[in-house]
Amino acid sequence: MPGFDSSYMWKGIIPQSENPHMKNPSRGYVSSANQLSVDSSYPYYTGYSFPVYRGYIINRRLDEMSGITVDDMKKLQVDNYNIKAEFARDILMQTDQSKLSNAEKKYFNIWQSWNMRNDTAEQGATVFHLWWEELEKSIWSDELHIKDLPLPWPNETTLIESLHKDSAYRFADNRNTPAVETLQDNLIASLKKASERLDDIDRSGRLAWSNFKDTKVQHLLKLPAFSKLHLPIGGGAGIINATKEDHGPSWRMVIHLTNETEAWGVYPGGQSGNTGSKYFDNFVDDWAKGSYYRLWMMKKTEVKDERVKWTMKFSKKS
Amino acid sequence: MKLLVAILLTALLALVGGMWLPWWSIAIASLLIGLLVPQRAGRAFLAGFLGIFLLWAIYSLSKDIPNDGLLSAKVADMFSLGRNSILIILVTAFVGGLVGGFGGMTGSFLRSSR
Repeated sequence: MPGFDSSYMWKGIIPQSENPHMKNPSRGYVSSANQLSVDSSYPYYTGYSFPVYRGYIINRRLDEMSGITVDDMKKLQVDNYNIKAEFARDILMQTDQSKLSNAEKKYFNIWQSWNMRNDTAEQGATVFHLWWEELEKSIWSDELHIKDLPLPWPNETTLIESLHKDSAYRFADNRNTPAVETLQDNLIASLKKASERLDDIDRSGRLAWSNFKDTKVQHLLKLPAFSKLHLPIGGGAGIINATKEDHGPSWRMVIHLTNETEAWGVYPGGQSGNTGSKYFDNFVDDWAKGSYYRLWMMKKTEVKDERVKWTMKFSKKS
Repeated sequence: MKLLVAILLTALLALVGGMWLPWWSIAIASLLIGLLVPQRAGRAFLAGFLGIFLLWAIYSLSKDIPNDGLLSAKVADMFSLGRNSILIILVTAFVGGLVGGFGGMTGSFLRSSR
């Protein structure tokens, strides 16, 4: 949204009937994962950057599933399948393996035999993550890292989409060299760079995905003593379990809308805000494991239930 | 004997004072005992130090044990003491002891300069 263009000034509120909405769609479900929820015919500005992968894999899974149970939904919420890795596979497979050193070949093989799941122990997830990061740098840095010209880094989907659509992607050439580089050159160069980093990571025992990602739940003051560090949890950006290093989908909940509402939930914290309480962070390990607690949808008749530990009375000051 | 009495009186007065006054009332408590019990400066320091050291160590322990050492381990971690509850309690008691010791010594000096 260009701030200097007065036609973008505040004009009013979008009528409720024109807000993006969906009711009883024929596909049988409503889903949302921060994706762009309207198509290009939508007349109002909605922002410019929306993640694609999570919504895509959620819809694919829901399309495949039938007779879904509560346990199916719990499993779906912590699914670690990396759809971006699936889309990127044919691009990385173009690497000319005869040009790889032994170390590079080793990491190539780890990546190739990887099941494309960012589960805690997967080394392929770490290789893919770093290789793709280096490939983006190798292809775009020469164009985008221009002094005094701040340019935004492209979206997470841009490189895969461009390479699939454009077999002679001109960004592959490094502008700073007389030679004309191809995608092939970039694949080799980026794997070389990634291998160097992977060697360091391997030496410190962090090649497994959760060790590399090293997820932590931090205290607001970022004091390590009050935080939960080195959590054994997979997932990552673009994955249904989108748990990154220090943020992600914390609150997980499944609601079963039967006559009597049944609900399950968990979050990486606890019920007490007191750092000295055992209830301060006692949910974190269960959350990392992907287990849930039954939530109590309290009814009026349960006011005297033994699970009510304390009550709070409000009164008007007369 | 005089030393033992001074230690106990310091601890007792600091405990009672702490019920209404801020933590630094331990300095006043040990100073008053330093004035009350005639001792040389060195012994007055020792009385103030041990009085407060014991008070804070025992008091911290009495709070720490029902808490299963949860909070003390976290605070010890913050001070790079490897989540060791006993160490952080000893450090706590030592800091209090220093304040108490100097309070007692000040009391002794005040008394001898009168």
